[in-house]
Amino acid sequence: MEVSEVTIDGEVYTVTKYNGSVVKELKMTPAQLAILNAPKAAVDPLAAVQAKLDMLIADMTEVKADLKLIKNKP
Amino acid sequence: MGTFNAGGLNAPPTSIVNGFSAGGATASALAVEYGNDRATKVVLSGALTADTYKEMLAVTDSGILFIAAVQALDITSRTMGIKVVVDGTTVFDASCAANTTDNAATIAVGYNEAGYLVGLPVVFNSSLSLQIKSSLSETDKIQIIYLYHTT
Repeated sequence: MEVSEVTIDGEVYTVTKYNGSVVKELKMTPAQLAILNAPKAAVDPLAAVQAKLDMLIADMTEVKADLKLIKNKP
Repeated sequence: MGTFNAGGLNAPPTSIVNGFSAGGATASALAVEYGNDRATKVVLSGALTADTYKEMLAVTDSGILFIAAVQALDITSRTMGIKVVVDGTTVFDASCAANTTDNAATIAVGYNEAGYLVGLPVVFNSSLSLQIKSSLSETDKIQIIYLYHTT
């Protein structure tokens, strides 16, 4: 395997040659690699659904309380 | 290199048609900012010139591409484009509508399942090029996500 670097428009690309294969890719600086390799915070894709469900439950509780008032009206 | 069957599942595509290919679609909401911890290869854009493609990966070999997408890393309004060139033929070249959602992406290869990218196989016989662009001149505000094998 032969690994070299080329500079294009001021940025460094890594060129890897192996068994007839050539791969050229933008080389990340240590600072960029630190960003990419850092663990990413997981976001719950159902969080928005849960928030809407909570609102719905709150609304239903309010409706239920109103109905109770109407029902108990003399 | 394997035997390739024209028109078959192991043939290179002449075009990739998906929800983004016509251009102007709303960027796909991904659940996370992708990093290398997801086993997909992720590369920050480096310096970009507005509306100008920059080649992020060039492979001279045969292989299979499973995922190719460009993802926003902030909420600045921009369009994000991605171009996929297989065996010298541009099979995908499209940008999303102006996006202001963090982590949203333009997806060329693969699809979004509940916020996470799922791969689909795209064969290349001799070469592969992945390029991205932004409507803004900027540095490291978007990133490319890809996953491929050589064969």
